[in-house]
Amino acid sequence: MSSFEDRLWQDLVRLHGQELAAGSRIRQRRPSLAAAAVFAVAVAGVAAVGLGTGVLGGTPAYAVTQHPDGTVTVSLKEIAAADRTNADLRQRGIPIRVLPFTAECGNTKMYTEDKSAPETERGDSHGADGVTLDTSTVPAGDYAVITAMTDEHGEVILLMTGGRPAKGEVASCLRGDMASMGMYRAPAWPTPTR
Amino acid sequence: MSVSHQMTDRQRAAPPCSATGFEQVYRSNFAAITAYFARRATEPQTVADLTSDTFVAAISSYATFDPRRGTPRAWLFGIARRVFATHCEDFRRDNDVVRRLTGCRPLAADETADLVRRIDAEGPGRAAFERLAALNAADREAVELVDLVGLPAKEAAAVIGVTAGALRIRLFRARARLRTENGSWTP
Repeated sequence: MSSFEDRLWQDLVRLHGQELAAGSRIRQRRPSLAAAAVFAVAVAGVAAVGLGTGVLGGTPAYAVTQHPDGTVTVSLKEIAAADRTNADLRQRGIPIRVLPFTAECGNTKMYTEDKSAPETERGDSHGADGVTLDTSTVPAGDYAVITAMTDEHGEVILLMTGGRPAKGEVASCLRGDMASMGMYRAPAWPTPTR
Repeated sequence: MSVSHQMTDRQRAAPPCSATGFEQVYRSNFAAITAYFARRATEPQTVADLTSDTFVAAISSYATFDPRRGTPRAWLFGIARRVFATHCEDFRRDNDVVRRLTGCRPLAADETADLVRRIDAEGPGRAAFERLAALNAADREAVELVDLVGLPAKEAAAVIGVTAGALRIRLFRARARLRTENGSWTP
């Protein structure tokens, strides 16, 4: 404890003690209307969603979500679903490809970066469990690359690799492992929540 | 710099959302919240004001705190985050001086000395925080809450308002970049 800690506590009790005592009964929350409104807004805010189920049963193995602002969120729960994700992206004309990054991959070539193209903006401002990209700057014929890898807990991690989109042939996968990328593994790496 | 937030058995025994419960939340998290602001400001009065604002907002809304939605610590950091955002917005609007003159209790000499000690103690934390400057705001926040504050990823995700998976992606991306740019990343 310290002088400031104690004095602030005294101020809090003096100025807000009654408020705290009066509010100690937990208020009951109105359930349905607020929740329904949030759900309606969430649904209205999404232009198109594609889901694919996989070996995880009812859990979608991947999801591709097109947002009204033109950005696209891609999430992936199973590396094996990368092919289906790419097929979905191709069918919907979205210039993003998901490339699994595994030690077992037979392809040893790297994709070709389009150095003349602007960097693809990245971000996850939608708070979704995935990677959100702005594909509006991807030139026709090019595609933004998302690398998918599995961490030591078996969880899929999606990463943007490099800032610029790729051109030419789309590889089925990329060969390598996490260690070769020099990724830092902090001792406090969080325990996965499933 | 990581701050221990372990509660004693006696503290755990307090009923949630009671006045006693709030004091336990306050005592358990005061150092961490002060350190959070001491990484952002070196002026004792500013650190005092931001810490006070956080706990005033917390005590005013404690009745609505729902432990099923997260820990008290994550809830407090969520408030601290908003307090600091408001502070920055005020500063940007040049209203800060007015607010300082009208709303703050002047610090006594021993309180100032206490805060100066806390700010000095957070020097390494501030240095680590400065090393995060190259990251975007979202990644920086994720690294700070997990690597500097010591929150579990799930709690940090609740503070920021993203899923645990999204937070892990941010962490992975940020740590990789820090390692690339600095050769290593040890907070």
